[in-house]
Amino acid sequence: MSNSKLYRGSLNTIILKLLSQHDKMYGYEITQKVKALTKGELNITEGALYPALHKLEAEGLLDVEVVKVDNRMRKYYKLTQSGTKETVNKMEALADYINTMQALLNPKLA
Amino acid sequence: MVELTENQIQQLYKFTEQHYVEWYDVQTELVDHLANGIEHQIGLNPELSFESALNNEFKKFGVLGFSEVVAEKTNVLNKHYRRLVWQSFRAYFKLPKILLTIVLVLALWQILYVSDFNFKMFIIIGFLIGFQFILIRYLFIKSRKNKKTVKQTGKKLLINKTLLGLGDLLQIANAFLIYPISFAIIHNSDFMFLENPFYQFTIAALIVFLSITLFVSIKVVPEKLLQKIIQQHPHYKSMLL
Repeated sequence: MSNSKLYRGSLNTIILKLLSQHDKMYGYEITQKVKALTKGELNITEGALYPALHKLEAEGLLDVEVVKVDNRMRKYYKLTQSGTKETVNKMEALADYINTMQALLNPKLA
Repeated sequence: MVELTENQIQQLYKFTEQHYVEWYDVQTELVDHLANGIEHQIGLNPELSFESALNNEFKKFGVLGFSEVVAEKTNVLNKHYRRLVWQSFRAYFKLPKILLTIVLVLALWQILYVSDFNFKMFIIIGFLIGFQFILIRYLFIKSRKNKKTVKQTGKKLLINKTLLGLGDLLQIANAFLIYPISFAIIHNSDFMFLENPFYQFTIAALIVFLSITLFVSIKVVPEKLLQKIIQQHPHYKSMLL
């Protein structure tokens, strides 16, 4: 990923958005999903993903469910009610940001 | 799809431990992550050995390895604990509990107001020693239990460490309360301000606030937190404090 700094600020929004489209997801699944959706353009680093998930969990936006899968424990994350609300806010904020950037960088399109 | 063996999963636990993740609750999530990555790689390239696949996965965590995950998780848990303390504390300043808070402050203020100087000192020092005693007793019982469970299960939980440190509240209390109070006691031989009703009220309020903080930190919050953890991770039950 070449533009990691540009994407980093949106990591929480990406996680919340993905979880709003899926019932529950685990960490590895999130990294793979992002990679697939962006055709490899965005590769979430493991060292950033888990801290972000843990923070969102502590903020009460995510709930956790631990399930035994095969021969190991798997920790699933899902949105809480306040997480669902926050997703909407964050998506709006991101859309505003994209519009503003577009107006600045490419006035004809805006 | 390749599936790792039980033995390989145990190797992964060991691997995280060797890379400075001593907490079972943090190890578990990392193990699942590494296992998924390894299975995926071997699925694409069946010739790849388990060790090289593990190596490739670990590299993705960057030069800092797992340390960032551990540090961040520790931080987040401590903050979470303090936030719960603050939430429960605030409840004592809203109806209906605020009535109890007011009654306690006024009652203690009255007692300080009517009693003579020696008895005032006795009450204040009594409370300070009482707080220390309750706290030390709590920590003693909990850390003994912690040692016992670690010995029995062979697993350490980060959440238990958070409970034992009261979410770092102990350090904060030391810095902002115990040291200043000790300093005041050592450097002030004259406690005449105790005769001033305004200070008496302040001291009564402080003692009541401290009592509430202590009560929620060692009773309300640990119970709330443990209940949630058991609900989310039923298999941790035997390892929790």
